[in-house]
Amino acid sequence: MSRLPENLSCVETLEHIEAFIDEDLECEQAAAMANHLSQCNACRQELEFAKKIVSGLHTLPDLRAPASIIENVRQHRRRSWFHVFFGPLFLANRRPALGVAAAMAVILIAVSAGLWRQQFVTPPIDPAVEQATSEVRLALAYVGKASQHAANDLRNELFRDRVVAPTLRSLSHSFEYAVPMVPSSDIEPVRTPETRS
Amino acid sequence: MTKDAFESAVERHQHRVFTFASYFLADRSEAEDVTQEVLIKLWRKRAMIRSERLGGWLLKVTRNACYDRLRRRQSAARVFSKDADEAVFDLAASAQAGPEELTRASELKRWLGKAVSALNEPQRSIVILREIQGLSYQEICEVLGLPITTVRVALHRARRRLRESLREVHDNVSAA
Repeated sequence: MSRLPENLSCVETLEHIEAFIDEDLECEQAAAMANHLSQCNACRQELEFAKKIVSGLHTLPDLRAPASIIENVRQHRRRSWFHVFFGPLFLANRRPALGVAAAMAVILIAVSAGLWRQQFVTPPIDPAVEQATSEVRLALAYVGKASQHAANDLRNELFRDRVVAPTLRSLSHSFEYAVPMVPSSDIEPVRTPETRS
Repeated sequence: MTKDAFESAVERHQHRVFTFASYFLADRSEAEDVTQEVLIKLWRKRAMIRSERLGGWLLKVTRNACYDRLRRRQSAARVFSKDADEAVFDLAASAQAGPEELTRASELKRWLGKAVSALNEPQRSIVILREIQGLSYQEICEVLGLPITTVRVALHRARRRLRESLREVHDNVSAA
């Protein structure tokens, strides 16, 4: 440690009292200190006070942490993910604004996720309904094609006898009134592009 | 570190962490916050800490957390602080004391606690670790990352400051 002159002044003595108490001085320096202290009442009183300080520090107690701390730590262990968002609320409510903002952000994310899912995820479809739908589509496509074909290609007689007459008979049965069969000679032929000429 | 080992470590070290934070910050509620923060950090980093280094790691993390708190308070030192939490020093002065021991010694202890929290760094940490918590110089060097001669010199200077600052209080108390 520091080197001291052999004959110490009070200022030098007071400056090194702590090192003297801790026995951190070299032998010659410690002896010079002891010599001065034996002759100087004021410095001796200061030495006693310095020892009292050390004694007082040694008797300052270890303090006991409140039980709530360890309980909070256990709760954090159980709910780690929750604590990430709401930790500030548990720290003695020191930053309530931050905790409230975090809570609102979590709620907003949850609501947005729910709305998004509702919008884009369709409910499951009954397989029977799906099959009937595809069959109706095919039937309509066929009817459409057949209609086009009938309008352009079929002879009047075929169309009249095979489509119109049966349809009229069905309707007459359904509505319970007689629709007389029209003799074919009384029906004017439909003028198709082939028959106009 | 298993859950049981963590529980055991917390039981063993929580009071030491709380003691350091209390004397460092001179504020009981902030000391509680720091203690909780440090123990939660221990849980998060438990896989990375070796058990033989646990004590030093905890004190190092505690000191850093206390330092962060001080910076946030924008107050590097409190001198015989009227702002200091009296509860901390009342607790220190009255701990293990019966009613008959509300004496000058208790009063000096109360002022001593306040004076410690008013020291600059690293003197404050060194006094708490060495004189209050009884760590060896080697352990203090590991916690603070300072050479041993620096720690010794800083300790002597800190005690001199305490002696000088408490001289008047001691004289007044003695005269009472």
